[in-house]
Amino acid sequence: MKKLWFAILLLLAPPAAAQSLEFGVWAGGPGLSVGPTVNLNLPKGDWSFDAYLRAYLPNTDEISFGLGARRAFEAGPAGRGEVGARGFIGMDAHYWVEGFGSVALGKAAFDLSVGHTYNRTPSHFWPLQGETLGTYARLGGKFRIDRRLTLLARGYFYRGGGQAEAALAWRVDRRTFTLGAGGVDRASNAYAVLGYKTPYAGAVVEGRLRLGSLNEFRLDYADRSYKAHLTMAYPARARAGLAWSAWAFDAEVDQAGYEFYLRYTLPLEGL
Amino acid sequence: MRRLLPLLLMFALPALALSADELFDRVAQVLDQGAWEARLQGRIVTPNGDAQEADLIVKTLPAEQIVRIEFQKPDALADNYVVITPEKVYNYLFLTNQVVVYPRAKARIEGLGFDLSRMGDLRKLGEQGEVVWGAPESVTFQKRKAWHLVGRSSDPDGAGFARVEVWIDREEERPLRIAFSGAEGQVFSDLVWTTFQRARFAKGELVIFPPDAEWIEKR
Repeated sequence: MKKLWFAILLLLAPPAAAQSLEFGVWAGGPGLSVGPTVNLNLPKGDWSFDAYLRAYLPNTDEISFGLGARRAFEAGPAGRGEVGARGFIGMDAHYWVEGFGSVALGKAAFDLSVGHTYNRTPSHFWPLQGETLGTYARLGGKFRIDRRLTLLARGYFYRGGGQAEAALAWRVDRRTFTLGAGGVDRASNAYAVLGYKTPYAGAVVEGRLRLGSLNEFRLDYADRSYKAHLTMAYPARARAGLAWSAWAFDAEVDQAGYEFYLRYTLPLEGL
Repeated sequence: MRRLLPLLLMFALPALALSADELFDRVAQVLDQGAWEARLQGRIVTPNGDAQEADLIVKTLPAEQIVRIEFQKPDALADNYVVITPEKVYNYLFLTNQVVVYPRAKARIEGLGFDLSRMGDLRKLGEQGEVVWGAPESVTFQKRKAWHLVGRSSDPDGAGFARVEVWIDREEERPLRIAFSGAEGQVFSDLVWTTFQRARFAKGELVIFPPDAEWIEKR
């Protein structure tokens, strides 16, 4: 155990050179588990490195830590992207690895992440990872047909199932209407997607409704100080989040339990 | 005496001729008088060599040294914008709803063949020895009396261009056209100032981004 802590301390030794240090407290159930978290971010030019640590109380065997690296690249004023990978391992022999990439080139943007989770209960908030055990892939795409119309598509595939969705976003002045369709696991499990986004008193408000085999309503709000979101779904599930200044709070409740995650990002530049 | 007069004029004219520095000083005075908005239309060349129609709206607040460039065309850049402040350059990407922030010193925005953040600062290019300007020539541009200047970059690789040409309105003393090109004569951008008007901007109207955008800070 002492060796592990020594390795962790070594991992976190260069905070003076880091750009930011994020402290968080994760709590979840059923029952009550509390997990203090630390995320150290170190940018080096186009590269960015992360180190993660999550303690886990009262069962300290589930302490986990991770490492990540990503590289950003640019191609023209409208072209940018990044590729990266991160991996986590825990004291109870669970692990999680993920590779990811995104690119935006003028009228088109794509993102892809592929990962594998082994022997662990997924956590939605530290950081977001595969919600099922085994291999998974997420991919998304956007294509601007013209200045008004944008085609959106996304998919999430995992062991034993998947979800795919396509939608068309139509911009009228500063408002955007979205209409689309998706399916869960098989084509007959279809659902409709309706969305509306509008500026409101210096803020942006967006509502998105999925109805059919998936029933979900998500509301997003953003102004210059706050970003908030609320999702309500049936079968019963609710999720909410609020970010302000260097703070962020997320919560989720479903039939299996609950999770809370509060975090604070400390900028370290100049220390 | 009548024979001497043309001769005297011939010797006196070079002394009276306007230098590039003096002309840029005058242009700078006009542009620095207050906030203004201009529309620039023409062509730019993308990194892969495709020439595309360009349509930009430039808004500036000289007192605060803030420039905002809104892209209308080409389609790949439409609704994107760049905001340049003394400390930072903000590049907003509409499709991904991201604001990428660079320190001003590192803000070489690739893809237009030249540093977008220094587009309106031709005088400074000369002062720093990056561009050596020739003498202004009197020409007519779109039925307007204009000065035409050619500048050559002393470090084309570093500057991102080898040659820059500027047409300046002789009456209003403001730019009419700016063209950047490479060492082999390939045009990187050729933009005509189709409209120019005084405006009343506050800093908050130029340095503003969608509140739901994702921020990416580059260091």
